[in-house]
Amino acid sequence: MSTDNHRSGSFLSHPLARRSLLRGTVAIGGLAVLSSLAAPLSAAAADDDVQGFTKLSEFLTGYDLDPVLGARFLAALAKRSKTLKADIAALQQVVNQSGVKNMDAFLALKPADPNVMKTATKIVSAWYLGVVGDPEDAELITYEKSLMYRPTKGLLPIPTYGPGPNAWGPKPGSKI
Amino acid sequence: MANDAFDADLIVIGSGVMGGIVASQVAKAGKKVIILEAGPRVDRREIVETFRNAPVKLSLANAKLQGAGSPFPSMPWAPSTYGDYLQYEGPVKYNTSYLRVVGGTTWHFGSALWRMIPNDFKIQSLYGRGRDWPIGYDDLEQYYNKAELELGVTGMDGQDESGQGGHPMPPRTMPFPMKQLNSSYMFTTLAEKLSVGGFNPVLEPHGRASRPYGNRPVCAGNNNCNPVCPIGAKYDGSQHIDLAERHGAKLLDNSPVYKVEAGEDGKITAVWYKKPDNSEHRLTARYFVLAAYGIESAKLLLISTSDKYPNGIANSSDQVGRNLMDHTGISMNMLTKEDIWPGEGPTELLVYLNQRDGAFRKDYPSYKIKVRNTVPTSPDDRRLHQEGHHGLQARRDDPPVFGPFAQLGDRLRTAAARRKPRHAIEDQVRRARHPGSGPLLFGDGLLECRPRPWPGRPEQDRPAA
Repeated sequence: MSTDNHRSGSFLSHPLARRSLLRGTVAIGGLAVLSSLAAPLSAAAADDDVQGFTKLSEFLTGYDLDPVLGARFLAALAKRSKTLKADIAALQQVVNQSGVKNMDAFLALKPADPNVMKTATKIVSAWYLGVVGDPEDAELITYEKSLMYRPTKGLLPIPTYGPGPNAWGPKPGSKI
Repeated sequence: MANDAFDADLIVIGSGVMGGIVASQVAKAGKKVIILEAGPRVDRREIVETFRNAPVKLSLANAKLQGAGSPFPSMPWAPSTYGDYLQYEGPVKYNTSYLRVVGGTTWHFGSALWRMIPNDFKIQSLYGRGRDWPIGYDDLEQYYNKAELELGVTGMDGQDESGQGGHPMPPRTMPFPMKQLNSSYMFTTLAEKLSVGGFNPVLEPHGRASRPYGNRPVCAGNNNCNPVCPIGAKYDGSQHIDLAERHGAKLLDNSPVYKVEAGEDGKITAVWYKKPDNSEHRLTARYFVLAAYGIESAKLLLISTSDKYPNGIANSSDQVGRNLMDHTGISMNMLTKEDIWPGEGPTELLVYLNQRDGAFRKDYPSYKIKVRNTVPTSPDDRRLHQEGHHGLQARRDDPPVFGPFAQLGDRLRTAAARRKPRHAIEDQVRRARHPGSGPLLFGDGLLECRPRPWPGRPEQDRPAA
């Protein structure tokens, strides 16, 4: 699946086939995540959490996102915040209630609750940097798939993933 | 040709570029060679994976300044210089970062491989500073040729590397072993624009292959020359250790030498090393080469005391371990008005050497202006997040490029494109910094300068807030 194109639809669009294929893996990751969140949960519930988190992340960032990474981001975030599940639910609720189809429209509503924006910020930062946590306990979730590299994909290399011999010279912008 | 009276014809202490080249030459000649290295062998693939998996990725200088680590291992018997192994005294921290592994510090060097120029050999008679060498450039020229072939140097023939925009300098009797890599768009653009102001662009000679060279593939623009070239296109000392071993040399890794023995006549007779189990071993040889870098070599000589040599080996002058000089530098950020895209190709190539040589050397040392060419995406993204741009605070003063969803993406792309090449002014002769150095007069508003305060080593990446 191409994860490089921006989504043009809403965050409610249908899950992609690969997501279904990967669901088993995701459920395992999800279980690990939520085991620290008090109540015992079924694999299905954990799966739903990951699906929900990934979808919410797609809405926040405007990118198609990999649910396997979603599970790992969720686990890393949950490990560092006891209120994460509630925070995500609160953000999700505000998004749902707004009825808007994309992030621009959501922002135009200027959500009043600062905690909602804080949660959104935390999630977006994690996906962009590929890292969760403070420098002292930072945990890398992904390097080459972190969102920060997408805007310059094909223009600048992700260090260690170079373009190949002599693949530079003309103005990079002219390659788009 | 080993003599039974000796463990080896030659023992080399240190497995870096110097030790490796000496060891491989002597092993090729059929002599019995032993190389002693304090640190372990490392595997390129593992170093690359460690780098990729590190949550905080920093340039060499910043990793050291900010207390971050290195992807290279630290052993109890050969601690990494990124930790607290080196104890500092004095007002200025010495931010050296050499590697204690088989192959040595070239694993993470930027790979600039310059020749000196003829005037460097006579700075006392020309400029009244320092001392003249007892030999001149011409005496060394043929050895520069040999060294460039061994190291596999890529460079541009015909350049004036003395930085004056004049005739080819220094004189060469052999072309560079490999022709220069492609110039990136940023380098070409800067070279054109800055030439107007009298800055003479020079593409530096370096150790990245531009054609298959020995076992080295061609540089693929991974832009990760340090901390590690992922494909081994860039020279490192492990390549000569491999060669030495193929010719029968024996490498003892994890074997720090702690004592050098000298006989009554002053000739070195043996060295002692330890293994990780703390066992002590003595080796003898006809000849010894000490090639353990500025600090470790001096340390070993100084701790090798005896009744006859109470100040250590080779230290009748009492100068061993003194006069250690850093590779000083300062960096500045530049913001360009147009997109110039730093980060393509190798991490460095374009330099300015206008202050390489001239009458000014009577008053202050020569220096180099290096245009740093690391991919700015990660530091830019961290900065944007720190400044509160999380994709949630759309700003419309940057034209959207990728559609309405990507506020942060737009900003990131713009920031990456216009991000300032970093100029490290490096003291070529490793002398004390001069208050008048560093005039970054790139005038006419082409580049906006934002100097950082001294010591201002490049703040390449910052840890995520």
